[in-house]
Amino acid sequence: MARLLVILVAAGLLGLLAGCGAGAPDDSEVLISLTDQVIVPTYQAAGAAAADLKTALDALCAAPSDGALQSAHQAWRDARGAWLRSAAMAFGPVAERRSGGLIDWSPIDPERIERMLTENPATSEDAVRNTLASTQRGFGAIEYVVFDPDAVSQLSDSATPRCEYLRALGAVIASETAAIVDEWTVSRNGDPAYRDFLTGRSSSSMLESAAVAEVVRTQVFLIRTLTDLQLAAALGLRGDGPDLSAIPGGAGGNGLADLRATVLGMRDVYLGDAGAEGLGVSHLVTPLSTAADERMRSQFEAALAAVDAVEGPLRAAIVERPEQVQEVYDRVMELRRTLNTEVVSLLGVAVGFSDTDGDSMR
Amino acid sequence: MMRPSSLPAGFDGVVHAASRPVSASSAAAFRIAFGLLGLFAVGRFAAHGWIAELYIEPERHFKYLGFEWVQPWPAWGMYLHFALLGVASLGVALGYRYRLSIAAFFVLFTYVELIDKTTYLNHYYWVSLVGFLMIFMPLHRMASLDALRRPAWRRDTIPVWVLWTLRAQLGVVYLFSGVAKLNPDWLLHAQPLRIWLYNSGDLFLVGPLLQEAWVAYAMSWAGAAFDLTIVGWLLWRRSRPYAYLVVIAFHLATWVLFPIGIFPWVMILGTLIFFSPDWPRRLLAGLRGRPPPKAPFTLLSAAPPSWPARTAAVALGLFALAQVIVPLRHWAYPGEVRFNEEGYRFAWRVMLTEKTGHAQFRVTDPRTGEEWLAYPEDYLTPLQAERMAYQPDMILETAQFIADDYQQQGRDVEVRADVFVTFNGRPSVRFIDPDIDLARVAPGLAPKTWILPAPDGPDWAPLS
Repeated sequence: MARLLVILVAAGLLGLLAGCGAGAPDDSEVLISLTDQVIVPTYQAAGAAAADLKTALDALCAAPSDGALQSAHQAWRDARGAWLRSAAMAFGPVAERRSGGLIDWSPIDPERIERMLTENPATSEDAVRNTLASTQRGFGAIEYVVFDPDAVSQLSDSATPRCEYLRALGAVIASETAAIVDEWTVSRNGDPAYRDFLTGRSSSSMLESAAVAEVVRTQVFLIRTLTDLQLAAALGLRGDGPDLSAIPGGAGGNGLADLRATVLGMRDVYLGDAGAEGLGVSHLVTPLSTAADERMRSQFEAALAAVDAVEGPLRAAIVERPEQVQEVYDRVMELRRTLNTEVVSLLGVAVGFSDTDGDSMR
Repeated sequence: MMRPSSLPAGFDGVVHAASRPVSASSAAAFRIAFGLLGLFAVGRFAAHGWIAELYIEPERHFKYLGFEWVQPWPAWGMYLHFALLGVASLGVALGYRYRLSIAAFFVLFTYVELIDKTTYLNHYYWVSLVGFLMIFMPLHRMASLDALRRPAWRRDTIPVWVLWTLRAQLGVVYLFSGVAKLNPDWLLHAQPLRIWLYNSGDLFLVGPLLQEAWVAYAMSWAGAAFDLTIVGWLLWRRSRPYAYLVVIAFHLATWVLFPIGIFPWVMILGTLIFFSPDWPRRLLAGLRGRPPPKAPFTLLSAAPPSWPARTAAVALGLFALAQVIVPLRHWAYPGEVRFNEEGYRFAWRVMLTEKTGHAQFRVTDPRTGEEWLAYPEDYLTPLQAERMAYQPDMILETAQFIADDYQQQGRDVEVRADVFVTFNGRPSVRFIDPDIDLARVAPGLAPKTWILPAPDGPDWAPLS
């Protein structure tokens, strides 16, 4: 009788545990969905766009013309947009490989690029990857070459190594984004693919709460970069006068598209929905506070609307219509405050990477 | 023990009763555990790299009022400081030159704690208080190298006030921690446990259970009941063993769920002092299969207490009074202490609030009217910036760090703060009056009128 009672109590407890939390997705479900439906597809899109850019640059160099140049411009914009959309997912392979220094570094150094082309040109993927500084490669360097008003004539001059350098730049971006996709998706030498490491699907995985913290912290740091280091500096809110160089990019005039892609990437991570039904950070916030979730959603929309309302290239708008850019800054700051206080608090994320003890507050 | 027929009455009677001798063995066990925990804490600090991260790397430190003179040593000095603290801890545990060891422990430990408010923890404060009290306690008369070195020092007994003082110092932690939980957030909304437990959903087996609202409510009420009554259960001989099992279970649960450091071990080992004074001797006898030893026989003198004993009793009474007044000082301030934090520290508000902030500063040059932004990250470490963003006195100090920085560049500036905090899951709200020039506000104990009051109304309810 006693044994039967023990079995019944144990079965009841197990049933209780199994039934608990059935309504809301847990960390693991959110991480799996976020990885499979947002992060990996975003990197795959960035990889495909980078491959297209490489193809366009190869075609431009093979037969320089205004048409080929326009195609290269568009391919560059597409690839840059796809890459910046992944900025909100810049943890794991991107951080470990330090891919930012190969793909997208700002500002670039035109003088150093010209000196390199004259004195010791890097004309192969290997040379660009291993011998150049971050200020001489990536999207910024490609932009410098292909958005030059004399780009076609410069690239037609077979006496200069400009085309080989340009092809090598494209090859580095293409191979590096492919490598990132590879690390996210393919297991090698006994190490799990990062998608499995992050989501608890391998024998050596990250703790789920640590993985959620990693995702949220990346948003916190990205939005800080966007507000403090870019927009505030460009608008002159930091006290040294407007500094247009704080806005990444140059002659391509892609500042607004960059901004939009970055915020969209953050929204993808938050909603977990990059064109598909999926789970994101929102689905971890909602069970605790629908109000905080609604604030985040509406603030994303307000920030994107403010970006869309800016007329003309971002740098020109900062000078000629600063109130429009100030509006973008204010809306993104609102989003940042909700993220840094309510979302961080609800999800129990320590922003400061500290593992010291706390016995009065979290 | 023989009881004389005529004992002093009144104050002298209390002093007399407090000097009643009891077995020294539980106090000796307390000393050993205290020293070993101190040694463990030092090792933990070194192993985690916290000596550098918390005391060497920061360019600025948040100072306690009146202790601005406490500064970190250069890097080698900080490592030496911690090494000496480890030696002092070992000295306490071994009972070697005990008075010197415990005095050194108190000074070295408290000095570290006073370097920076960022690292304030209730249990570190408790360790400092107990370390101070232990200086005056003869805890080296048994199971110590001192007693081996100097057999004349050896005693089987200590005055009973030693045990009651240690029990009281533990008791205030539980009692005030329990009283602090008697608030609507804790009892009616299960906050902040609802948030904290929900985020422990990945714990093996129990994780999903912890995400249930009823579990948060049950644990909130159970936690408050535990804190408010555990001292009584530990004092009552019949309930004591069961109460101690509950103490172990409670603190182990907090250790699993929260990043709470050595606090659970401090309390699990510390509460052994509630057991009978000779429990270690009984335990050892039991382990050796021997009968329990008899209580030491000591004649209690009927002579009136000496003036040093009276003076010590008065001093101890004043210390005890301070232990009651300091945690209650928040009543002297208007507003909600969990929001404005006026009187929050040193009050045993243990794991009571989930609060997160975001701070940014506006700097104005009054001569030119120019205004620009200043960022905490440019002045503080990530940990300092995070802790500062919801603690008003640290926000004030950061504003003054910024003002001082500009002062050194020859610019006399005004500094205002845009700070937003969320508290127990409420929507984030502005925390500091954005119009007040914090560079001109003198730090002090007066109510901080530049902290905005907590909003009122249904929109400001905590999450349920």
